[in-house]
Amino acid sequence: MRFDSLRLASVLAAAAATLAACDSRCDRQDSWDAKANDCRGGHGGGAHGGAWFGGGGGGAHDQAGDVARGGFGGTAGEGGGEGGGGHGGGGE
Amino acid sequence: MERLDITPRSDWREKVEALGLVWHTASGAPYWNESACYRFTRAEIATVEQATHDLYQLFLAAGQYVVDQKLFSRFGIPAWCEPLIVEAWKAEPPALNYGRFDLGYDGRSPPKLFEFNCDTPTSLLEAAVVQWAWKEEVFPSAWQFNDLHDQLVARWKDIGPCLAPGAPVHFTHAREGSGEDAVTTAYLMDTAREAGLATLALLASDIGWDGRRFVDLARREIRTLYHLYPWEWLVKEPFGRHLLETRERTLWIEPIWKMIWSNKAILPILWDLHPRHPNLLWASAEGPAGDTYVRKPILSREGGNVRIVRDGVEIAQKDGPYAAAPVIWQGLYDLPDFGGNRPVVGSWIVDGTPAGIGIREDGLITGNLSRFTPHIV
Repeated sequence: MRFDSLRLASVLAAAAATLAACDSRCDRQDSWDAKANDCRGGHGGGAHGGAWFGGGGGGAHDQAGDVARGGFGGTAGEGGGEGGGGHGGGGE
Repeated sequence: MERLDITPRSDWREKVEALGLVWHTASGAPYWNESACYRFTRAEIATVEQATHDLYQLFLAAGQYVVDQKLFSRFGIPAWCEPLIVEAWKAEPPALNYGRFDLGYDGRSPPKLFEFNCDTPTSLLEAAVVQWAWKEEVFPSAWQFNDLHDQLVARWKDIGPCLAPGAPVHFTHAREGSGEDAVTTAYLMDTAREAGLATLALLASDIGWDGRRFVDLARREIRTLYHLYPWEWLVKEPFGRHLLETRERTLWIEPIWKMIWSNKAILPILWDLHPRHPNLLWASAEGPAGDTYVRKPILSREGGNVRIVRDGVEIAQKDGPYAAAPVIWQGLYDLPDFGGNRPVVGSWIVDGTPAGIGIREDGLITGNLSRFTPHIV
């Protein structure tokens, strides 16, 4: 069997977490325009909006000691996946 | 190859959400589009499968050529990354080695390559899970070219014994609001779990550096890291240089040599090495050969800053943040037109084995909001 409930549990947990995060900015789930929504920009966390060959968030040290964080993840304004393409092709 | 108009399931939103596809709607219209489907013959699928296999062989040869000739500057790759790429290319560290060839295909002439999305490919959950579940419910007696899930699990099983013993595989992605990256990463994490591996998730911005090691939020050393976060971003960010220091400690999946294959600068090299190959379009880094062409930034995403010119007239273009990027020119392929819907075939491959297809349709330029439309055979 390809898709059992156990395997799907983690996928759904991630989905639920994302929706919960979005709920604070979106009125209703069914009005949540998933791929071009207002939430998207709002969750950009240090986003640089896709600056060409650039970007990068500033680092920060966690309070527990000498571990720096934030040195990755600063470029993505709209996620890191390669969805587009096609003729024209565009993107990864 | 034909496009069938069909009636969507009345509760399709709930059903695809139950499978994790929470980004099913875009700008008020379905991104997951089951008001139609594509039907292929077995022979057509065999053609796509063979082209996928052949293209993979071309990429192997082209990658070796780039490494041997040290052509990294054409790719905009920082000089300090070159030894890491060469080292990884030669050593072949464990990798999923998966990706999606975006192809133009009309069911008659040979499929043509637009690009290879093999660093952080998405539309994965749609292709592997959602369209399969749709097929099982709507066309249970039909076949579907879709072995993607099983091949991913098998690949994790293959490489599992080569990963750091006793350490979990960490999975990371960018923080973004649609849920697409989070769920796609969670899905891949689950394929690893199904293969028997221990897994942990964390955001890219939560990856820590303790002065000599990458660590997670519990300060556990990250020994193996799957990243749905592009290499060209990673190497430009503040922690990027730590890749050098940790080359013996942290294994990145996918490996850094994917900076070669996933970059559109590879397209002119492929054409130079295999001119007039039936699965390639003409491509050049020097300029257009005539007045009909597609101009693409080498590292653009979601169709950003792509421009299509026919007979000297711009017929399509898409804005984006890559205007200052180096570009390549590619021959224009006339996508088949099904009532204004122009499908691009995303042909998946896992470590050299064709694994299935997913179709997205739009106008001339396929982007982030293009509709995913399922298929049967």
